[in-house]
Amino acid sequence: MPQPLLSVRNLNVTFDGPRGTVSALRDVSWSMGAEKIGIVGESGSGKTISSRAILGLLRPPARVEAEQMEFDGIDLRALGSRQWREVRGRRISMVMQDPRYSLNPVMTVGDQIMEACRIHHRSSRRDARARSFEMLEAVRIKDPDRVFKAYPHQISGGMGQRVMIAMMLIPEPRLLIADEPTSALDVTVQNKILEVIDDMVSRRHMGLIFISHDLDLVSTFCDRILIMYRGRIVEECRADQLHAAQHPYTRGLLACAPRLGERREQLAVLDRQEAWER
Amino acid sequence: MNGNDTMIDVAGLDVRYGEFHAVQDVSFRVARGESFGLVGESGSGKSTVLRAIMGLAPCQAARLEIGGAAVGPVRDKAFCRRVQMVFQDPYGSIHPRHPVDRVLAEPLSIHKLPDAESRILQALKDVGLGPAFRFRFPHQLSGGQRQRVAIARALITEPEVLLLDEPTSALDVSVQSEILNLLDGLRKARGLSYVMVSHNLAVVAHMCSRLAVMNHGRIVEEMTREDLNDGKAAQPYTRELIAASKGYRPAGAAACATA
Repeated sequence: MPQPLLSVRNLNVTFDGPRGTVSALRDVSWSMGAEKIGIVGESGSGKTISSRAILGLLRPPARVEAEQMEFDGIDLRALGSRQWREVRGRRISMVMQDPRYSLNPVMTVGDQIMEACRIHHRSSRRDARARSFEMLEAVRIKDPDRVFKAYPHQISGGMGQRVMIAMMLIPEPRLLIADEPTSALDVTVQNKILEVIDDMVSRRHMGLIFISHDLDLVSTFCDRILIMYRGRIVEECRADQLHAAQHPYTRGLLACAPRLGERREQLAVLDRQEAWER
Repeated sequence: MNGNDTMIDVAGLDVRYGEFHAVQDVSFRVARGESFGLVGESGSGKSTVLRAIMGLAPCQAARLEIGGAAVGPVRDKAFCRRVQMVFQDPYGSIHPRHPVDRVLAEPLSIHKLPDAESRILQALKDVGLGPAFRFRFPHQLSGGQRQRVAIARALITEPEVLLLDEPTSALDVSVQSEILNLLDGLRKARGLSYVMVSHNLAVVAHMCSRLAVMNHGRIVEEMTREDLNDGKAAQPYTRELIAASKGYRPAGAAACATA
């Protein structure tokens, strides 16, 4: 096996609070190459914390400890804040859940994309502008001229998410983290955004960490899935083998979601067991 | 369907906000004890239909009847007792500084219902919360427990109709299944009529025997649960929604699927 793009071993995140220490991630390990990894779990299972730990975004009172956290030959545990700026955004970038809250509301779309480009490439204004237009076309925005000049409130949610993807991909990162990139969007828009991500990630041979609570979506979109429960990875499987998952938690989650074409009198209810936390 | 067993009868419902026509000419009927779904994307007007019935949105209608009685321009107390609504966000729809007891006592005092004590305990029991929850504040409850409190608050006036606006979309699937089972059980036990708004087709197919698909403020198609489960949609928009709810389809495969 070639050197993995990202490898994480025994990542632990704890929060020191007034009522003692809360453990948010416990011995989380995975490694990945240029592939699409899905992380699924319920709210509070540690999906988002995992991605924040990789990006070095956790600040005290959070404590991050790991035996290994290596990205593309760089030891992420040892980076100072200046070095982090070289990695974050540039080599690993992140698409957030809701474009309405994560784009700058008082800056035009074009300026925001150009800013991302100029910070990471130190290019001229003209060059940055040309690249930004190219990028808007690459994420399949039909009228880049209008969108370039628009403010975030003047474009739709799906359009905003394309803009965010454009902004995150313009520094040409090796790893993209997408934290619920489509859950604020309508289902008919969702597929189009996923097509864009899929296309960009495979064309540029990038790694993708796709965080979602939607098992059906992850199993059809990703290559491999990590299932998290209360700060642990309880199961790892190939996406197309999700239906054959072994862990009782995964099976429970699959059973409680209603599905089109299946008529059931009652939905299954998850019976949580303490053994899953060990 | 005629006279006695029609619980909700809406015909030619229109909602306008200034120039914007949010709901146009929406008509549907719901039988007593039936569960009817409204599906569509954001901005399709599905929640506005519920708000219009409740009197929370400015509406005009050729006919708007609950249990055979016409609904007046101002919703009176009797109407509010018969028709109750459960909102999407259990974090935003319960007063953050009122304990559960006060949340449940308020509708009782408004409608001057006797035996508050026993009704509150019964309501908590009906939604699967023990008496221990009675004096907790909303921030001491999980999302699912809060939604149970919201359902208890709606049920405490003994309504005949519940309007459910995305009651589980803020919850995890494991909690969603508990709430959906609870709602389904309550409907069967009490003969309640539901109008349930959701963007999730699978949830509506599970909960409702009939549904209407909305787009741009209009009903584009009315169908049965069986049609939805079998994917028998007449309108291309509905087919698109059904395809989209089955997970990711790469561009090539999508073309094949619709061909």
